[in-house]
Amino acid sequence: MNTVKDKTVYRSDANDKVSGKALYTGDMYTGSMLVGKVLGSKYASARVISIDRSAALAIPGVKAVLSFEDTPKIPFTPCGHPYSFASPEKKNMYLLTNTPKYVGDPVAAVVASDEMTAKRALEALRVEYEVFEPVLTLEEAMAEGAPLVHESCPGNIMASFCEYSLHDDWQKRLDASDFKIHGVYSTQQVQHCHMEPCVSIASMDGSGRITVTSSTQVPFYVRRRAAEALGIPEKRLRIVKPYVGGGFGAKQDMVLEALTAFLTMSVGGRPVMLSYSREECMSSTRTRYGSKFDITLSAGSDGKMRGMDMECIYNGGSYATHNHSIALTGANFCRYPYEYGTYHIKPVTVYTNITTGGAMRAYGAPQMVFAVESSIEDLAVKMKVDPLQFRLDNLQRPDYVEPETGIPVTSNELRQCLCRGAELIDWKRKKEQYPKQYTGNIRRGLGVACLGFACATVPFNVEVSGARLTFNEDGSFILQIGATEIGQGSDTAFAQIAAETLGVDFSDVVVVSNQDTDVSPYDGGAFATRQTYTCGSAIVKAAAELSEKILSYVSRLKCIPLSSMMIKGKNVVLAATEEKVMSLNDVALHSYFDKTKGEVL
Amino acid sequence: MILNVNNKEYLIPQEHEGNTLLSVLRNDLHLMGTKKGCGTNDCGACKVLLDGEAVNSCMLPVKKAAGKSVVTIEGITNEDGSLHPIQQAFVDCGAIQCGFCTPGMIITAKALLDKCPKPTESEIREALGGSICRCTGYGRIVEAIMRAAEALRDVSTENENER
Repeated sequence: MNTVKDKTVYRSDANDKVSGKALYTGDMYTGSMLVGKVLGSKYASARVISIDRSAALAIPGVKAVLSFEDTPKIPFTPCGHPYSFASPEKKNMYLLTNTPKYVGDPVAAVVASDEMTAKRALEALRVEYEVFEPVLTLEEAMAEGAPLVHESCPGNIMASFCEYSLHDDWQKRLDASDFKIHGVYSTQQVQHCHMEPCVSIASMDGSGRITVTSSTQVPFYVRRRAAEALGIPEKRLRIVKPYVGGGFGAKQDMVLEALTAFLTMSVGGRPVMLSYSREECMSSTRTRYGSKFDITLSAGSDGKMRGMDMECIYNGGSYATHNHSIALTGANFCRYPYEYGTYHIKPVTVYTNITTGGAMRAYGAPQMVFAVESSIEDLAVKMKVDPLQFRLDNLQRPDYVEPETGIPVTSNELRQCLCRGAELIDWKRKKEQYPKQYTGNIRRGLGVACLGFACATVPFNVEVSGARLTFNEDGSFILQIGATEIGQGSDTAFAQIAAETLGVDFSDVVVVSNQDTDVSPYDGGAFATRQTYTCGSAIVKAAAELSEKILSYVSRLKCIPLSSMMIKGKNVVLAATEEKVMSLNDVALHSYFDKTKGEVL
Repeated sequence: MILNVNNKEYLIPQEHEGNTLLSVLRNDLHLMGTKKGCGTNDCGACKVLLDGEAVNSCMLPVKKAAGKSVVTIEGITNEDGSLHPIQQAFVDCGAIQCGFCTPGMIITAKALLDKCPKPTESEIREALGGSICRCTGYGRIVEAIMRAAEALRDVSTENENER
């Protein structure tokens, strides 16, 4: 229809955001709300012997002091993927713990009239710990006889499944080569540092229903996991997501939502705001976790790779959430760009007494890309071939089909991309010239790397997205989705998709930006580069259906064949001449109010 | 104490005189456009204009703002609700993503352009040194400030001509 395509539009939330009117969770704080605060463990591995609350409770304005004894003893996982790799025994987080497993692990929480009082109450808590030796690095955690992070997990191995190889005789194929390199490549912990720290506000109504307003990427997943952690049915929970100040994966887990709900339950349902400081976001939410890749890569003198053997060991931190599935995803992505000849890939995720690892921007790909590309570079250097040419000689076929899943990779134009990039960068000339710079503080280098990436979590999960389009009385449209805008611009893309499919102007589709699990259509949320594809597909379906309904209604009213009409701008028009048949405004009014021919569209 | 914010005078409750400017703006005056990103003077999300200078409000005792003029993002928007040329440039250039740093960025840009109507790219980047954005990569923010500078110069030339 081309009402939107190839036209510049502006973000649907732009005016709200530049004027300071956009409300984020913390902006809904009112002075009458109570404020929650969390006491994080001082030790990386310990047992809480006792907590003396008397001094804290004596402070005027302190409403509740809570610890492990008060919380439901239900282990949970904060990761919401339906078939997450967190199998039952991998649910090991508690709302508050008595055996803290990293510095910052919540051991107590207070609720008070305001932030100052809450802080004073935390300072007044006397906690006695039995301190254990922590394991902080992969080496420490995997050492013979190392202290266990979780008693139930021998050797501190969180998970090691999904080891796979392309051929049974991969070792033989890898060894039948002229050049071979072995290298160990490590990456370190990174924190998302979304500008808006994690925050939730919860209150409970007279019937016991709890509303949690939260800065989250995944409101529906949070509802399920919070219900599980609290031991209450999902129908008692309502999660509301307003504007979110960035997430990058940290808010792809349940973070504070269940605990905030628990706090309001502990004070008779009064509204409680619980927020993490920047420091607490760093210490107690999630990280892109560190990794160690042990890679052997070989090639023949014909410049073709013969095989790759890769063991990827991830420092998953203290609790099970996305961790191992991130390791698997990284391992998956490395197969898209290159033909390795053969490969053997073994992902291992290890528990340590540091902040829990989780999703962050590209879910495992950056760690893997750094390691694999470094190793390819090392091999090219050893073979004395141009690293760009070496990559070009080993690119994956454009008609490649994933052997494990049978999914064809249909969008591989890496060869064209690399050649064009080399041209623009002036690769050849610079590659010859740059090694000759032996003086000066600033010397330039040249590099190339490839990345394969897939959108959505298929084939590990199914993807579900809902969309609801409402036809207003004036012929404009309201679009509701469960997919979450967290800064990436999805609301704008969704309005474009709806407008384009309907044939109306972008400005005539209003997207409801806030998600509310009571009213929004179901959706997984913002992760895995999935929303434009999955939710966008749902919107196309909904818009096509509504368009068909509108045209078929007009067809009956005006006795014009449906197929000869279309929607254009604010009108239903004849497809051939674009002559106006009826305005959408009139169509809507008739459909709602015509006593004989009215029909809900 | 009396605090002048966006050209209005507010009486600050005595028990809050020991609080930070950010806390007073948000919790007493309910001006929620100014954000708290770190609370430690590092990220610039809480920037306001204090006598025309862009300053972080998250660690600034409110008392230090007494007798001075404070302008928040709410005070940048024109009285009729229309956008200031800097805000409009942020919209036009797509310089916004999650929007949490945006008020602080716009305040920083306002302080810069009031003093330096024709900044170079490096002057803009220098001015943004204390403001962190985790979504955009800054390119479009710099572009927006460039564009705003042009728009503001056009406005001032028009005004000159009218005189």
